[in-house]
Amino acid sequence: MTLRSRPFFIVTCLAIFSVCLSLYKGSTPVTLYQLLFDENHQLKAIFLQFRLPRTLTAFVTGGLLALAGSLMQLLLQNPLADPYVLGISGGAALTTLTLMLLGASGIWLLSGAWAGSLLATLLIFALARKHRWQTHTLLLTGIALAGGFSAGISLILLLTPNASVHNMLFWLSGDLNDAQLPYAGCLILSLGLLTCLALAPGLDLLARGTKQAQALGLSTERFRIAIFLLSSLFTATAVTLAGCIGFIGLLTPHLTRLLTGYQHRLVLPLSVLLGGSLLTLADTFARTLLAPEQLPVGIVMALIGVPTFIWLLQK
Amino acid sequence: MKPSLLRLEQVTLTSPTRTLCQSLSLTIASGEIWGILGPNGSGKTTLLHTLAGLHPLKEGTIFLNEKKLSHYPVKSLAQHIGLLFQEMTFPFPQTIWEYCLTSRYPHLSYFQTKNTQDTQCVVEALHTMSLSELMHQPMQTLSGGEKRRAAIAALLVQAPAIYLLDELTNHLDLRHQLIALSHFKRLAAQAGAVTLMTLHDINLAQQFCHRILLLLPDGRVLHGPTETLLTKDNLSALYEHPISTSSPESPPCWHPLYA
Repeated sequence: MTLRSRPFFIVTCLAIFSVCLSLYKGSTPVTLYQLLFDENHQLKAIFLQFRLPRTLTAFVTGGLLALAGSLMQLLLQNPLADPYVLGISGGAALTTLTLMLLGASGIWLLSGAWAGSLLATLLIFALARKHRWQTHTLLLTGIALAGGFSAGISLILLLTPNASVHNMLFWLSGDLNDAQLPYAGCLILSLGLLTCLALAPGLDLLARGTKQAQALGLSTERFRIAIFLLSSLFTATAVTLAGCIGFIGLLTPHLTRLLTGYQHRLVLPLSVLLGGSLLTLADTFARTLLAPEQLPVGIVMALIGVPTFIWLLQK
Repeated sequence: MKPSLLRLEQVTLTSPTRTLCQSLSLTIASGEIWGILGPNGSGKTTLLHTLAGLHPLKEGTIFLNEKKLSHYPVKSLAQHIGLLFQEMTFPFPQTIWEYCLTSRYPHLSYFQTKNTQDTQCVVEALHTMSLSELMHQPMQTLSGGEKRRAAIAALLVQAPAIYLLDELTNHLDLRHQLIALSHFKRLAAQAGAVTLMTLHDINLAQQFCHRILLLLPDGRVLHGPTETLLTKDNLSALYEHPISTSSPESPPCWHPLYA
């Protein structure tokens, strides 16, 4: 029993710590005492309007990306897969940047990111249909599309007047500014996690390959379609919330498997907690390292993620 | 006459390029061990995969307990039929224990967690394949033969009534070949389990199989009791190489003639 509960305990502590740290740290530190007993309304306003939404968004985005990464690695039977491998983020980025070029902002950008990633998902799904969504077809179709999207993104960056390029690059490297309370994100993450937990025993089988999983009683085709759609939904939501943030989706599933082993009933919830904590910590650094200047959280994540991942590989 | 567990009616197997066997009909009763012999590419694996319901059948029908195989849901099929694959994949690190425990999947309902009966199954299977001491080792660190034994243990954990074994003896050393074969023989005698296995070793087939199915290179299929099917003429035609037995002992010991 201790084998199971210890990693959970550690990661839950990490999650609480990272959220508290992120709520406290910032250009003005806000302590619990001040928040509860101070008559200073400005502090409350800072906390409720900026600090809390941003922390929650970071946590939910990290959780979604970690979950999507775990699913994608199983779907493609490839430990190198991450949520973006199939070009879903590329689709989102292309539509968002196009809208930015046209001068849109706020809710339009969000809907653009959402629509773009879902369009990319449907495109891959339709194109891989001929070969019954086999692993290699999915992977190669996704990578080819991602290449196309990234060419489109470069084109847009070249066409854009200099003044707005900065905004675009910021979005591309992960942007948690102007975060709102992530109601939809929370809902998708919690319902999604519950669905995935119900699918967990099948996920344990899936890595053995489609035929072996089917010989053990899994309706592989339907199952894989479900996994594909779920992970696309998670990625689309994450990209809409925070732009493109790399490494979380690749790193977290490996870290959790190292911590708990291979049973997905344990791996998935732990991934969500760990991914959420990592991104919240990265965002705290991004806000405070060069305060009052802000770094894109994606860049900080890469700065933390690259050495961690390489350290993992050396082990 | 024992009741038939598995029945093939006019089954035709094809590969993408050619017909492997034409209108095959046969009846397999409980407690029988079948050996499937044939040269490379003769359709042994295709036959086993078809019986496991992994290939849709274009011509003919397969009955399991007198009910059409295609009418079984995937999960309940896995309670009846287990397949040992020629090769195994595991891209992610997992221990032998975890690998075997996931094979209980067909016996668990959706929200049911694994109980002591399931873990007991794994303990016994690992003991049978003499893997008890290695059970917490990651699969990646095992040797080829140990991986093979883990795959056999996982199949025993699945505990079906019909075992389809694709080259069971691959990678196994002599002792473990005999341990595995004897175990399936015991399962057949005690629990009435059915085993169909592809083999490349005529002598093991002679020793362990009640019935033989030969997939000849010219497309003919012969099946029947081991004693009548394993003859010099049949085997020489099967492998397109002269095969003989040195002494008229019983059961005979087969060897190829060397040039």
